[in-house]
Amino acid sequence: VNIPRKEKDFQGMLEYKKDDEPKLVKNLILDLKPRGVAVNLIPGLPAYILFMCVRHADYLNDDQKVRSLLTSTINGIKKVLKKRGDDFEMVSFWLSNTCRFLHCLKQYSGEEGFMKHNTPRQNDHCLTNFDLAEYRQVLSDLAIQIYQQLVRVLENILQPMIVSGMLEHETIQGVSGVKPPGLRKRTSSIADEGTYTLDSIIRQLNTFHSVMCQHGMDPELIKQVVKQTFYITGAVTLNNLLLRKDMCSWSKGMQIRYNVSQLEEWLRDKNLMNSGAKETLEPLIQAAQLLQVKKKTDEDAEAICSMCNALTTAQIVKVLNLYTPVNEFEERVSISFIRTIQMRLRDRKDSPQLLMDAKHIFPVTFPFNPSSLALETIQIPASLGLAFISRV
Amino acid sequence: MQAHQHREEEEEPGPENAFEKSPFQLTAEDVYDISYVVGREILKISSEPHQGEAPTRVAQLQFKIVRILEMLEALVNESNLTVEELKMERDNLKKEVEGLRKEGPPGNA
Repeated sequence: VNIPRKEKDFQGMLEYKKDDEPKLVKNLILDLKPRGVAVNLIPGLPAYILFMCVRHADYLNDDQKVRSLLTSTINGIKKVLKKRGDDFEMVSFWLSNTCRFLHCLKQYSGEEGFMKHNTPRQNDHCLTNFDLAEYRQVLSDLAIQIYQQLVRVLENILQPMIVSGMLEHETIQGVSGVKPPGLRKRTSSIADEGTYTLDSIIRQLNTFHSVMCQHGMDPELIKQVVKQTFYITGAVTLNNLLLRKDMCSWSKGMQIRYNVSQLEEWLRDKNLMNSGAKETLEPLIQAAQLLQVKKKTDEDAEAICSMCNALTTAQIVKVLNLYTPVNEFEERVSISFIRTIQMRLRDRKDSPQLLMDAKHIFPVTFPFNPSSLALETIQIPASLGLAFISRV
Repeated sequence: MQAHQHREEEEEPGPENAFEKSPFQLTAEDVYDISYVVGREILKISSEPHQGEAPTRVAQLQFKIVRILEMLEALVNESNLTVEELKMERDNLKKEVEGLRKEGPPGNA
């Protein structure tokens, strides 16, 4: 029976025997589930615990212990991500915790620049013996690596949904009732079951977002992930538009604009309008507008040239070439019209690029995000299986 | 638009939904959702400007809640396991009964 004892004043450090280090890494990193009572209630808990262990080793002035713990931590995280690196939840979890650990090493480094938001009590918790700036660099590189892995996992999940959900599946009824003559219907009614729709994409975005929130990922980092996700969606959609004749019609333009507006709605809903995600869809939005505007007179040509500033000349010309009239009231784009466009855009210094690089990853940053959490109040939940470490 | 969002909410229950479930339908996943929601509420309280002892007491409460939820998780897992075991046992017995019935009552053969 545990006899409750008057809480003594803890200093926010954790002590373990050197021999227990492998056990610590095993229970706190290698075997830890990204979803559980303790880590869900206190996001970033593994990072705080690790940092409190570092603090005690620093307090003991034991450079060997500090070095050993930091090395095992980094190797442990790498090992988990090698084994479970295709699991979005796992990668998101360790990206969040690696960042939190990095923030702790900064917040409690004792460097004034990182102490601005600290309480006096937090300032008492700064490291006193060792300068871990070099380890921070290593951890920051590790975080970049994990971020890239996260993007790859997310891309693999999203990739099969994009063309189907953004282009092929029809959400607006009646508009595209008239099929372009001579084109085979790609989405047959039988294939409709089990194919991805825009709703599938939105649902997937919700899942990604909710997992990252539950892991306590930095809001600035979530924004970057969402921007990258939108970029992938836009690039894959646009590339398919540029490769498929049956995707370049007035009604597809309508369809794409509706789908894009739903994605924007999602951003608004999640308060992510300032993430830069919407801007990454601009080339796709302009291509959809291009499908819809009039394409006949000189004035039309001028309007197109000033509207499509996020598309290259090659992309504009390609869309016009592929354009397929939906009904008898529309006409093909004449060769002379395309020539006019080409002439007008001649002085524009843009790349000859046709397809977007759907694998492009925007460089990530991890802005310092100090926490108000008080280390001296942290206890070790029983479910973590760390009974061999003690509070100091 | 409205209809669309409504449908989505039905398909995609947020973590708050766990609170609306019957205790006997609860899964470990629901307990994790509850943890997240409660954790977020505590974080809101502890990031407000405070004086004196309040943050320490909030933290103490927080770790007691962790313990309670750990217990709830264990109970939920345990009861699901028991239900599962009982169901298997029942199905086995049913099969046995059917087998015996097919053979016919003893003495009738």
